[in-house]
Amino acid sequence: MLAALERKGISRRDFLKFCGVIGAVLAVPAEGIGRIAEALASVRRPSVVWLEFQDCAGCSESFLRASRPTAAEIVLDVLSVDYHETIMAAAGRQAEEAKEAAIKTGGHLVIVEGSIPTKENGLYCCVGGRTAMELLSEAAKGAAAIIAVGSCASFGGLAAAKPDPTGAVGVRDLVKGVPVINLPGCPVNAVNITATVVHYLTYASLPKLDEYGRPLFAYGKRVHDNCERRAHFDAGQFVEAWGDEGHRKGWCLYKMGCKGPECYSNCPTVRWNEGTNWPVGAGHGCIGCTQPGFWDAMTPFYRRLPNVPGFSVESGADKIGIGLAAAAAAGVVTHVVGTAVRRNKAKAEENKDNS
Amino acid sequence: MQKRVLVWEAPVRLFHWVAVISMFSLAVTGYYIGFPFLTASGEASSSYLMGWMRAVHFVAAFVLGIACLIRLYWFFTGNEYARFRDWIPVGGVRRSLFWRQVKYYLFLTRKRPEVLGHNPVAGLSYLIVLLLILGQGLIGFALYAEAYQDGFWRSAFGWLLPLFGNQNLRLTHHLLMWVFAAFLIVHLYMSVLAEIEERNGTLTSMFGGYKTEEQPDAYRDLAYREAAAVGEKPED
Repeated sequence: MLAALERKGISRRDFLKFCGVIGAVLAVPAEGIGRIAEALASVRRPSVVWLEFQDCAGCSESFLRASRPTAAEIVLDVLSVDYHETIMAAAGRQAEEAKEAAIKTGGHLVIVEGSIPTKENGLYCCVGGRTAMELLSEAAKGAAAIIAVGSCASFGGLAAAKPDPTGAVGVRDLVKGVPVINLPGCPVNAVNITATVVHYLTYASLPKLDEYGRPLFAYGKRVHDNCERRAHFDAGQFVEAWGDEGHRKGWCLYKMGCKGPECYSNCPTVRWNEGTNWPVGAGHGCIGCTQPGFWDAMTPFYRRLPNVPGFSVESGADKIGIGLAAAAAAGVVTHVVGTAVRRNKAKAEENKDNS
Repeated sequence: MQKRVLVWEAPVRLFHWVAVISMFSLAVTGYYIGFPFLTASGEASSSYLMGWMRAVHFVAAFVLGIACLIRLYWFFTGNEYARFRDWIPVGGVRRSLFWRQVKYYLFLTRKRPEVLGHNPVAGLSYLIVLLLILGQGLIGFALYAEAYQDGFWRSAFGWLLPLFGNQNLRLTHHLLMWVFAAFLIVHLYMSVLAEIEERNGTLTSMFGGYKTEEQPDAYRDLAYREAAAVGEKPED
């Protein structure tokens, strides 16, 4: 392995640097980095089958832009990617044969990109005349683990948003008996794929997951908790309009509908595009893309709260609440008038009795 | 023959005022957390406005939560006016009183039923409000647990997050605050009305605990007579 890297012009130093970066993402102790290096240096190439269903290839794009070329290369060298529709050279029958061979051997990793349609027996997504449901259950047989990359493969994503015409679901809803790890995001961050794979190669197990099947090393903390603008949130300094003074000063985007407080992801720490920047750093609120059903749950993107079901978009929760309180006050006023009328009647009757 | 009766014991009164103060603080700070209407100027390091709002919100939530637990305990150990029976209209007597109270509020009958403790309609509304407070607290602590990966808060309340989704919990938390505001308006009016109509110290009783009664046990005798009059079998 190391010899192969040397031939590619990657020094041992570069290799150890990469192990250090991944160790940091995985939050393993310092001695774990040596273990990662050992594992990667002595690994037997596990075969990977990358399936694309109802996707936009955005997660593939994200993966191919893995921040350090060395990282992608290491993973691609360490793994034997036997099937990936977007990047493989083979086509047609040869391509399908390569996949079949990999699945037959067993012990392979399956990476799934895109949601799986279930309505009309899954005919909304067919590859080579076979439905996504068929292809997935076939590939899952004998697999060591399945990694669902992106929000579509994890939770159904965009296709599952209302009105969900195709009955799109994530991998976990269909596959049973094989460990499934979710790496949601729109797209997934490449470093989280790399780190998950390295974790699997190093410890021969999947990392600890949360209730949505997401690894805690990447999805354990809210965007809000590690945000570089958090100081402005705590201070009470908020952007009120795009381009206002607060926006130019880099204040908190909470009032612009930022979903950082309800979204779990390591975006603020690992960032994107070789660590260049990330959405909030660029002055746009988080849209909560790693949360289940985020197209429905996190909209409207530019408001704090979702719309109240059954009410128009314009009437927010507060307007409805004030209306409720006002109705109570109106009821009280009506009752005051009624009580006064009742008392006057009683008085009048008393007077009549006395006269 | 007037007699002074201790209706509300100290824990009941204390709970009432702790709830008032904490709920008011929770509403104001909570509204700010949902819609920060004040902006701090200068450097971020020189102010801690949202930080204090959240701190007060959390402390008030703990205070209200503990107060509710103590009040729940007092349902089983307090005097007859502090118990669940005074809140839930069960039994013929309470039920008939309940409907007559509703009719009185709707101007369908002129006579206000005489009840020394909670009138059954008020009691039921307090039961609903207590349940809403507990629900609001459950949601609030679930949102509080979002900051933790594991540990006590996450395991005690975190299960609500995947069940309903955090945005729905936030929305409900927001709307329930307005339900409490509406309750407050009606509650204030009803207590003033009771003060005027009953003339036995409704308002002062929440401070001192005592109400005046025309004659001992009148309430119970009256209730029995009235229940018998409408042909219901009195219980207890």
